[in-house]
Amino acid sequence: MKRRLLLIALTLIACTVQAAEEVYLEPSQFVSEAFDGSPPEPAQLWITGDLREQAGAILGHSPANLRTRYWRKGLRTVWILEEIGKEQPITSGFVVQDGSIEALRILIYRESRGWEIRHDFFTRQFKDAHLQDGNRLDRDIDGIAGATLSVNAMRKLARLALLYHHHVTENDGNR
Amino acid sequence: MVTGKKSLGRTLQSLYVWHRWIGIACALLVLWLAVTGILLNHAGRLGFDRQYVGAPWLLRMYGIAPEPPTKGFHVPGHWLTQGGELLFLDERPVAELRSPLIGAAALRGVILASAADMAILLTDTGELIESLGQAVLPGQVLAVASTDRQFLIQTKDGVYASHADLLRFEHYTGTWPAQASRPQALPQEIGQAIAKSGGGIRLNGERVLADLHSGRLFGRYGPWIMDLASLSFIFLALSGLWLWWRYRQSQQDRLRQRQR
Repeated sequence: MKRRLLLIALTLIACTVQAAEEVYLEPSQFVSEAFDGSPPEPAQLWITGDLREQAGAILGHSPANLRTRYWRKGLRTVWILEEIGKEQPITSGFVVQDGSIEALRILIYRESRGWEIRHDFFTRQFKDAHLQDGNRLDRDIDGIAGATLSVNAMRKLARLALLYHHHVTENDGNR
Repeated sequence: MVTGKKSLGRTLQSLYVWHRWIGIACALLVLWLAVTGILLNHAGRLGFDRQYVGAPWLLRMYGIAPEPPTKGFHVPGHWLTQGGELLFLDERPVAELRSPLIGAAALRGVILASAADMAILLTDTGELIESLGQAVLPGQVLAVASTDRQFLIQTKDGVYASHADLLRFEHYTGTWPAQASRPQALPQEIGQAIAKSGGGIRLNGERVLADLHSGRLFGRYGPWIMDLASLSFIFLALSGLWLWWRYRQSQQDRLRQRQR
């Protein structure tokens, strides 16, 4: 009886401990998989001028960095982007092909709740999503109860990845 | 019977007076709790949970008195140091850095400040160029340095070199510079300025709001005062209900007497 009580107590204590960083997929592995094991060298996109304004409008705040790196082959680009959910940054990977999101993966999750966004039932909503006028997504993304801030962060990052993709593919032309 | 009615009347009058004066006395606290409660309910939407406050007077109210940092890393023209979870370029916070700062180097107007699992690239005016995480670093960083042409990053798997843009890393087989980045004594005026500005310690806005709501921000007796206010609200609710019910009863009695 005492052992059962101890086990229950330890379980309850474990449940209240704040979740540490969860790495679901190493970012480098995500990039490699996106290019079938042969990722190109990274390139850099400077977030300045009009692009910075548009990114700021999407995020609701000015982007923290002056530049972001990406990987590109032809019309396929891969972005590793971060945005704060509630208090901690969520690291996510985006594969954009021909102006549409081909894949979205949650790579590193650091919050104590809202981790449900990493599952397929949420991420597959973004498949084939593209931007409409005003840099809005072409679809509504269903939220998850209790994960509103994480869901909002993903919506923003999806729009940002598509915006950046348009910028690099339209400015450089096809490679 | 008459005596009983008079006694009840006096009780009701007394209760009404108490109800009125306690209501007046608590009005300010009611407003305080209501406003902070509504803000707390919508803290996420209003962005309080993503905002951080570090004003020195607020930290003093929390009893937080950061010590001036004493060590930093020197690069030409600047000092890099860490306070809390912030990276400071001289006295100015320039980026978030959640892991301990282990080195800094500069090359062609670009400053590299590194922890074991992330590196910060800055312009020499303190603008954040990029935060490099595990996806791009060549491994867990042990030390950083620079030559006249490259940044060097020492990892468990060896030393890697990169140009100032830190886009690509290649194995470096040269000699590790003798003057590699090491912590040095930070100039006192910089340390004092950092401590005076809060030392990099920041409080989450939602937490401050919750402490305002509960009274915890106002010292040991703050929560007790809020408890007293809450008990007063309970009294007001119950006395209000009782007064309403008695008034209703008396109205019905008068109506019955008229009908006779």
